[in-house]
Amino acid sequence: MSNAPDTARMAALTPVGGLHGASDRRRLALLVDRHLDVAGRIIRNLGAPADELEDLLQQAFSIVAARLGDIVPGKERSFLIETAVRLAANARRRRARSREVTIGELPEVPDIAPSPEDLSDRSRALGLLDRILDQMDDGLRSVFVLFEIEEMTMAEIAGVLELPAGTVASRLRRAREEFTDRAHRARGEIPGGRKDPP
Amino acid sequence: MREPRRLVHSDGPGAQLLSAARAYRPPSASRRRVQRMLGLPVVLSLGATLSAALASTSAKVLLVAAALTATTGGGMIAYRAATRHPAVPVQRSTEVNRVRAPAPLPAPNATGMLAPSGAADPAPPRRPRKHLTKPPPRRLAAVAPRSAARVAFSSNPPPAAAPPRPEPRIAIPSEPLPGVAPSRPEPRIGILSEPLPAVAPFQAEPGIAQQSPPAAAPPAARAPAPSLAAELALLEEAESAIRKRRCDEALARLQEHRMAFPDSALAEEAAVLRIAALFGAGQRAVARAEAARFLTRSSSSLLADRVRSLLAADPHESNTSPKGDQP
Repeated sequence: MSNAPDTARMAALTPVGGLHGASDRRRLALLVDRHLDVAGRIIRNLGAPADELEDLLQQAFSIVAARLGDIVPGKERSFLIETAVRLAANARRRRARSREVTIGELPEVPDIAPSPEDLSDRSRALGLLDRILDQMDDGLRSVFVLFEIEEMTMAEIAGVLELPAGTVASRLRRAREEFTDRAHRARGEIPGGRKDPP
Repeated sequence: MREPRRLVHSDGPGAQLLSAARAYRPPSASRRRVQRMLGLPVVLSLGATLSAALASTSAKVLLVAAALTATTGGGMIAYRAATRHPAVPVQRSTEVNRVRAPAPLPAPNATGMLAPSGAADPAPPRRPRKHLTKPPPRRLAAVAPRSAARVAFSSNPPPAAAPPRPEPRIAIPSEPLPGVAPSRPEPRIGILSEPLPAVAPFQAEPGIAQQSPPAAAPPAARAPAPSLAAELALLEEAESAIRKRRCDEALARLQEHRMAFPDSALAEEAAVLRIAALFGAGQRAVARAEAARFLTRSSSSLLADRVRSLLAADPHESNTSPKGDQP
């Protein structure tokens, strides 16, 4: 893989084993055990390129491990989520920049051909979701994903994203409107969704 | 703040999309890579399996199966064998070991960025971070993680003896590396649906040992000692028997193990297997007593959670032991 050296470098920065005591290892073990799925989902749903998901997940945990001594016990999950959000947003921006050069504007949802039929309903749904979310502003998207998919409370989101509560509320409102509108327009493509016109 | 109803619970057109997104899980290979990178036992990845089983059904078979699954992964056994047995190097992520820098490395700051060496910035953060015990270094907003990592890396070159090798990233070596013949067939351990890589790498990558200088003992000295292999084989048999719900047979194997290896490096694993087997064999009182003894003796063991899970999975009695802390 082309980015292997970067992964190796990130990994090299992780103080594994000897630099962590037994209780730290336990914290890390529990964190991975319970919250790796959340981190992976956030990274994916915030638009990180598919071929970077695994590396970004590793990076997120590298960072948590490196900062473990600074993280208040009990706040590991928040820190992990915050890290995942940042890494995903950075990756998405990086990729978007390179895409601007090559293919220009993102196409509108209705113009995109439906996914191949051999894809499962779930991957088709995920693909469509990605296309809808890709048109959302980063700030809106993070709030939306954390609220609607991770089911975090608005207060939790405000804490993790370091935003005032009012900002979270207004972003969420706008994001939900955008999402509902785009999902409605694309509903013919939704697996199991209604296909008849309005 | 009043929370609006989640759209996934609506009947709007987006509900299916959100539901699909919620069901997404990173591949288990990603999980194992993270665990290896952090030097964690692979078996802990099964916590979710156990919780799901507990939540979804109270059928005893499922509970026991899930509890056993969560308790007895070969990864844990192999991992602990490696950490305790002096003749066996600890396998970490291959990337970690190959390129590990010798000196303390700059910690990434809270943004996920890494401060370049020599640019440490003691300035306080914009706002206090509630979940940090001390303020992180100032953010480097414009530095992408990759390039930042590169900076940190290049300013902390690894020793000449352990340069980053230009090999492709191989997370799970499936075969021993050339020139390194394992001294015996690898014990097949693991009750995971996927093959567990945890055993093979110990033998396959003998040049890598945790916290040891790159030029350590020669490969021949790195193979597991016969006693360890024999222990692993016995425990593997016990685990396999539990999986097939032949718990009496498992108890017999574990008894053999206890007699043959009174000073076992894998005593904790054996104890947890025994607790699982006792539950499976219906000897619940003995199982609970042994579990309590285990938790008293080894409360901080990484296996303690598995013992608690076994206790919690016992359908006839509510869990009386404290659960592990929740990060």
